[in-house]
Amino acid sequence: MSRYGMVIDLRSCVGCQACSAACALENQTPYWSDKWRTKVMDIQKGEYPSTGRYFVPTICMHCEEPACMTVCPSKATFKSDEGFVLVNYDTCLGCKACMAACPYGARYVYDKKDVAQEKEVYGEASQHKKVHVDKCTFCQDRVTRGLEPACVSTCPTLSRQFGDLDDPTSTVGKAVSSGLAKPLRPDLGTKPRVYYIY
Amino acid sequence: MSSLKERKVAARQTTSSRDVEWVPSICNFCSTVCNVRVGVKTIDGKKTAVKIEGNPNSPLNRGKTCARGQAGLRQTYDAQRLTIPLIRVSGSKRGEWNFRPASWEEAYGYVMSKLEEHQVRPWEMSMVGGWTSCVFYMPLALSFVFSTGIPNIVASPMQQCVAAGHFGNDLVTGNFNFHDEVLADFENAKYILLSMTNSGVAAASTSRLVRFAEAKKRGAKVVVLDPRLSETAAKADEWLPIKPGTDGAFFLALIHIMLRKDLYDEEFLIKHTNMPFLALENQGMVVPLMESDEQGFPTSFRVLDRISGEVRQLPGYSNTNAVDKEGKNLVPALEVPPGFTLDGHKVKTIFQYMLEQTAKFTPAWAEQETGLPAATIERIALEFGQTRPALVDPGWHGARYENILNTRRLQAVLQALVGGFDTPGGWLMSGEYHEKLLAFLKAKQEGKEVPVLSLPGLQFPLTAAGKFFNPAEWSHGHPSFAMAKSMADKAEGKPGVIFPAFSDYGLEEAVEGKLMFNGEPYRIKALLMNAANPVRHFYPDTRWKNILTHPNMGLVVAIDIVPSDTAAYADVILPNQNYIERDEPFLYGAGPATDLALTTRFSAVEPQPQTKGTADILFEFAIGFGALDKFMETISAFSGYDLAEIKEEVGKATNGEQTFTQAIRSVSFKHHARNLGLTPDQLEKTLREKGVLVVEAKEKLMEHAAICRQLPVPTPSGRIEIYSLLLAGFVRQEGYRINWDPGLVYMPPALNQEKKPDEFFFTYGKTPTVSYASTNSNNPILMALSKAKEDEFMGLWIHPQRASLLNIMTGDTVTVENCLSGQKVQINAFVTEMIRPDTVFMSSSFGTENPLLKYSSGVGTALNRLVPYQVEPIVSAFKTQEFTVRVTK
Ligand code: SF4
Ligand code: SF4
Ligand code: SF4
Repeated sequence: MSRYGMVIDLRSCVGCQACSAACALENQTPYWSDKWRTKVMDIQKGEYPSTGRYFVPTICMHCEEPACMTVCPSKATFKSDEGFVLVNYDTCLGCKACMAACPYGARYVYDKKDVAQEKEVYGEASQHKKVHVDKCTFCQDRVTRGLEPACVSTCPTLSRQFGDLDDPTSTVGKAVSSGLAKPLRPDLGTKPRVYYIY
Repeated sequence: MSSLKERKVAARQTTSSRDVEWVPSICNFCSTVCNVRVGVKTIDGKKTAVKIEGNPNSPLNRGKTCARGQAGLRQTYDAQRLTIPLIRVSGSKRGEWNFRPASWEEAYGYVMSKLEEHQVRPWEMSMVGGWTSCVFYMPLALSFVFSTGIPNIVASPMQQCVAAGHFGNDLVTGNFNFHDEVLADFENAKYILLSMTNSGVAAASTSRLVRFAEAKKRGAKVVVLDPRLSETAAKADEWLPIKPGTDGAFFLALIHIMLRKDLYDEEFLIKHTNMPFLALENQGMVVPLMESDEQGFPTSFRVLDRISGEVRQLPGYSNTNAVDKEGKNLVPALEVPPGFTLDGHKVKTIFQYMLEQTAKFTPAWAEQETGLPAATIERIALEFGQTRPALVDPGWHGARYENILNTRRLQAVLQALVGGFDTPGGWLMSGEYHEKLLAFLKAKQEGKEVPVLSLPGLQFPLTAAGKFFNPAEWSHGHPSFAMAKSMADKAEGKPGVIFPAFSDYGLEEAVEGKLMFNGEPYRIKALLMNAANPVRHFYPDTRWKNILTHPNMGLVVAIDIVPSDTAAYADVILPNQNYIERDEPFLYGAGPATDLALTTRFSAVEPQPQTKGTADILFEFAIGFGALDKFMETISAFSGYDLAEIKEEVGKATNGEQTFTQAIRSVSFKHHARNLGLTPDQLEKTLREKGVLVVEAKEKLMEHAAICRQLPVPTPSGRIEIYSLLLAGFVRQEGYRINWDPGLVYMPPALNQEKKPDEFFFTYGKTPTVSYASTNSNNPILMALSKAKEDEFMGLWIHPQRASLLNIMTGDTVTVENCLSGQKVQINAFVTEMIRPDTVFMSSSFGTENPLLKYSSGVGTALNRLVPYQVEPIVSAFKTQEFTVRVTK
């Protein structure tokens, strides 16, 4: 079985937010409440004229040792067969323990207002029918159909790559095994499956 | 507790794109015109668009879209969509949203009765078009005005981008396209220089961005000139915060060094440019030794053959200087020996004159102008000159300063010095352009006429706009109001505008009754606007509000999709189908894609029942004006479509068997199918499946149709014109003015250098989430993304050093006053190290007014409230930054 993961190349990301928009439409995330599964930070550093500006997309790290999962009292947070860290919307209690535990700030509440708004926007096609904690699914529904995640598939700079980390011929496999791509905060011991090139 | 397996099944979240049917389309959120596909499925019993993706078959955007391309689908379901014709409630004022619903018959009838009531004669009308009209409806719009005798079109990309920028490049390369021109081959370049562009790359033009990103990954060196750290500048290896408006000085210094240190592609200059042409100095002007025919087309040039030492004659129109008029080979010299004379005249090459002209443009001089260290400028010149392929991006948006055409022209000259046209890592011409050029050259050889719309590059605007300028082209003897205004200016000894193509120059005067032509007032009494939003996208807003609300304005018709700021000023609003809903009336080339390809839109969802396509609306008007036959004939003449086929299909439309859009669409399919040796059904099937049909791949085209190496370009001489013959023509016609100096000159921006502590240079630019000059800001997703970056996107960028002097902090509301015009706006400050201390910046994306635009109305500050009406004298490009501003808390 593939060990899926993502590599985000900060050298080429231009902060265009196509990823955020694609995710919002594919996964009906509550943009109306400024909640996103993937956001792009715009970080400015240094003094003029040596100022630097860096765009850093944030996303769930789909950790192999997910801190959010162990704290979930209802076992609603679980790892899928593909190794994706997911939330079962039906059994999630909305207690937010996972949100406190996640070191990467990847989660938010799909609250009552959001559920109502979603129904209004998407009608019978709405995906989030109940209050729950929401997060990136690595687009499991697309990946199991053989597609790339929505954010990856649209990124105009190919800064987001998805694939089998164990496959030495894949773009992500190469980037990780060569040491070019590194996880964020490896010291936390969560073993992220999202890597960054910077 | 359920089993793990059950939990997993319950958790399987379906996404929007599951089980959709994909319908090919073209994004309409900016003029990059990306190929997309729209995912549709039945929801609540209705076919609904749920997801957009880039079309993976696209040679242009390669399966990608930007945030706007993704979010665009919400436009279809905007609750404020214009869904039914609207007529202004009598007694209400333009600008007030006070309309009553009407039937189409009533709306058309109302238009006709108003035209009659105000006795509007054909030249007293103008069409106003946005970029959508240019890209998708040019054949119809042009045919419409020529068959109805309306000599006026105002088009919003012209004074802002196409004429006001690209035209500068085009003077050198002969190129020109509606919209857009050349693809810079970033992905094969090793050194990339960008100036005055964020929109064209990172903010965001997907076709360019996919290529730029490849360059970044491959480690190409990127240098960006920008007074602020834009998204594009953020990706630079070197960000050069140049003093606003002085990019031309930087380029001249590069040219100065490259010419002197032999850092140019010598073979290219000799063979494919006019650098080796012999010229002499006459009354301070450099004049090439040439002969011309009666129409002014060059028939010969002279060069000194390096091998025989003889002066030889070159053909007037050719791609190469390696063969003379008699068919003999030669190698023209770039320099003639000192004291060289011909027929008693002191003669030098253009190259030598350019050396002389650039003598003063040293790096030390450029440091004074640009504020960048001379050593840096010199180093960049060496790096650029020594690296191949080196690329200077042509730029996208123009305007800004009176020197914009000169600056964009210097960028093309720099590109010519490295010989980078239709070469890997250079400027690549589009597939469509190559096709037109081939057909044009063939017709020229056979002595045949080419339909206007098939004319390549500069030939098109010179011919098409030329018709608007020439009173003899019109039975009523009136040129466009813009040309009439220019003629009136000249009569008063003012410079006027030489080439006011599709410009608003003189419109206000014409409406006010102050424009005279042949001793009588030239009035404009009616406007027909299509996908145009001049109240936001022309300068200043007050000028257009005056035009639209003036008592002399008899009728304003707006064709649009959403209630734009301008639609509020209409008398009649005609609701348009949006891009996801409509079948297009034509097949199109794939924008600037380098493959020769065909594409079009397919209706993905049912249009709102009461909306119509633009083709249908224009046909109804043509019928109303009694010009249907002429309209069909003109479409045929301009597009090369078969007239009998047009008549047959349009006949079915007049009988109500199909729409006019369908009629023209089937003619278009038949026309192209014939050219490709396919049946229309086969063509339709392929396009429906793939969205794009590649007719000839770039590699193939490059084997036989590369410009310079194989084909002459549409400049007057067919060569890359480093010395511009077109500008030389302007000198002969108008007398000398630095704006149209055919050589290498510097035009400093007209900016006050001695500034008070609260006085700043002013700059603006684009954000990736909203396209400039579109009525697409009212998008909930794009607005949410924009608001999340409110400081960067909607704020006035100001450096901390000056901000602290003025006691300004991020989030403070400040007043920005234009020191030239007195215009004032309020905006929130964004204090940042990402900008020059002497400059402020704001984005051009926000500040819509119509309260019906629920998401965008009142958000941010509109650029055109701060910019006065100032235009330069070649194409009436807007001078949108040529002033300073005062910032107070
Ligand atoms: S789509 Fe790609 S380039 Fe754009 S912000 Fe997201 S990761 Fe960066
Ligand atoms: S992988 Fe899918 S769910 Fe996760 S951020 Fe990307 S688009 Fe959103
Ligand atoms: S760049 Fe973006 S907005 Fe422009 S056409 Fe492409 S997807 Fe649409």
